[in-house]
Amino acid sequence: MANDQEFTRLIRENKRIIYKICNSYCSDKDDRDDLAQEIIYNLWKSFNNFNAAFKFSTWMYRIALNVAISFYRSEKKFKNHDPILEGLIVFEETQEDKTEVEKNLELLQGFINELKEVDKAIILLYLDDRSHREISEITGFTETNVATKINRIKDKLRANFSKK
Amino acid sequence: MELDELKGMWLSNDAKLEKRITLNEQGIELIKLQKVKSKLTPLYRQRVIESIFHSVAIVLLVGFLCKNISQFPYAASAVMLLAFYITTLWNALKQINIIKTLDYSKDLATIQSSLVILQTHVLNYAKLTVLFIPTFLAYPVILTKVIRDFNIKALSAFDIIKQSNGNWWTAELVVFVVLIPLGLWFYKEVSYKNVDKKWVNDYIRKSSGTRVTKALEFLKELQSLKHENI
Repeated sequence: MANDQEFTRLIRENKRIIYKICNSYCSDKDDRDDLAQEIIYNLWKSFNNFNAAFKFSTWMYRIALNVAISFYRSEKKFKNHDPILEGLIVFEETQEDKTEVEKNLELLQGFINELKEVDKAIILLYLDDRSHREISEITGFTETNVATKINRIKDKLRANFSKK
Repeated sequence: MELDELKGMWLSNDAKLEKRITLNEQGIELIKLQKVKSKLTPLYRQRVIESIFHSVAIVLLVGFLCKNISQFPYAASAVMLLAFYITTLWNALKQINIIKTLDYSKDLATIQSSLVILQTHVLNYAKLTVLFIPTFLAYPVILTKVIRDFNIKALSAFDIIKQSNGNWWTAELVVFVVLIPLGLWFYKEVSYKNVDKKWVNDYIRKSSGTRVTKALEFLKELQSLKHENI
């Protein structure tokens, strides 16, 4: 029971991560729902093996990104959409006019959505202020390659924004 | 706009996101109650069936080998087929091990590479079929010997080695000596490392499909990010 409550608390505290990953790997709303469900299911399934000596968010990123990449690469998707679980993570839209910052973030999200699956993972971690070492631990790529990838994405992004 | 500038905006937007994202906690409780079943279970069952099939073939061939150890053509033919079945069994066992030890909390490169290996299993058969083309000549030799050993009267008069005056065995030997080195070269070449080579890419696409080709291209990207400087 304590384990149950702890899990829900940790998901509540890190719901942004799941939301951002789902938003970056799926453009369709139903797919986003399915992916959120699949991520939480896999987190729960592995939760007993989570070592509390490590950072929960790092562990969560590994599982969530692994599930998201598998989902993204799967042609059939998971096809296990459970209507009862629709709207597991909902972003509440407002009627207010978008600020300049929000418009830029929207452009950034659009840019992330166009990246390849591995690049999406690296840029999400970079934007979440993870160090190169931590990105390397989550992805399994060398720190040098992480740095090179980030620089290449930066160049692409600069070129993309200058076109807008 | 620079990425570092956007990173600042992205982080400062987190507080706003926190307020605007609602988590359906009832949904989480329902997920917790879901029966734990792996999506890889059907694949696991397939690989277990494959392993049983290959193990039975190995046991039968070992039996045949023991019985005919003194007759070189038959013993050599059995050894060739044994090599094929041991390799396929080894591949199936490796897949079972990957499925059993798959842990999504490992790093992306490790898990995604393992998933690609599971996804491209069909290519192993396509490669092994070419590598072991010479062993196909061993099937009639063993089959006719088994028929005679079991005294199946209607077919017992047929001995492919005698009928061909020993030429079948010579052909088997020549094909084996010539094609095995070629087959080994082919087996080594057809890999994710060479997926950029046109003939390798064409062979993989035609024998195993576009999905497998794309998976191997992804594996190549993962391995270069893991081991080499890009």
